[in-house]
Amino acid sequence: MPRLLLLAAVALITAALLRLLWKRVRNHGWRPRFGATQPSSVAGLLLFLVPLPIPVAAAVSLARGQLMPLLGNAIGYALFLGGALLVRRGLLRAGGQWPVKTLGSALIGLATGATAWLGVDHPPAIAAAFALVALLGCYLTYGFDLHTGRDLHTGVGAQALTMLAQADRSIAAIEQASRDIHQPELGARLRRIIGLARTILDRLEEDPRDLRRARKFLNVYLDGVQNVVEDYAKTHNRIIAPELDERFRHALITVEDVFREQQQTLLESDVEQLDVKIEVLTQQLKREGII
Amino acid sequence: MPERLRRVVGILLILSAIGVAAWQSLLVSCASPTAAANARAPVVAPG
Repeated sequence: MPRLLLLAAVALITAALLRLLWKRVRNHGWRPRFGATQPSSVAGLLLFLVPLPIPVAAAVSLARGQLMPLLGNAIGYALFLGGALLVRRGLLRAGGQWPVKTLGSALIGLATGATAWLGVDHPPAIAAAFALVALLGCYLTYGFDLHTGRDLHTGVGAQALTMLAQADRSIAAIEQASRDIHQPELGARLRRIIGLARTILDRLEEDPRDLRRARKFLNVYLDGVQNVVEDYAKTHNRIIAPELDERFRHALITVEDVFREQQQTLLESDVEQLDVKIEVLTQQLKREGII
Repeated sequence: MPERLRRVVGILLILSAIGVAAWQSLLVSCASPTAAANARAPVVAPG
């Protein structure tokens, strides 16, 4: 009976933590951007939550004086914590010098194997199978960062990734602040601006060569808009100032125009690049006497 | 494999490997010493 109560308590705590995690994910509007590298406060938390029964098992083993399960669970949980921390660091700081996500995933695999072998007393072969499945799970969920300094999927450099991640955070902050502005017209304008900013960011992610052109947009405009929108969201509920509202409206109109221009510039650069490629191809075909 | 499907499969694998190992270790720790010993060294009936 006490064992059942203990298990029920652990299950309840795990369920509560999972519910909290789910709420945070929903509130943050988790969107997978830039591969698996979106900085988020919940990144990699799954790896902290799932092994939670292991320290409890270690405590029970200690209380019962079982040496091997105690060692297995304690070593296993230490490895789990180290691995989860490394994976989280890898997710938050993409493009670093070390392949921390890969190292973290390897530690998680090792921890699973150690727990299954020493903690549960499975045969080594079965423990190795546990380790491989955990490693595969980490690879599919978080990816590996073997190509240090460059993103595996998009070829975006570390500095560019940092810029894109910062811009993404700014857009999220603007979106968050816009929820506190309860004027339909301004809200609609802000939604359009957010949509434009996301489109520009998607384009930059697809083609990082445009980053040089959009540096000002990323470094100056987005930060400026974020500051203004956050300050307005804070103040407009406390004071009634029609002239402030009007100036904010004008600022938003200007920002929307600037963002549209930025989008247009990027489109035009694509057209220019395509034009140059067509010209080069035509010259090549002429040289080879095909046309 | 689509990104979303890949993530779902990955999370399922993590839950099945790490989750099962973690809960099994807790169950083994909570089991009575006799049951645990039996589980570790199953009795083979003489043939």
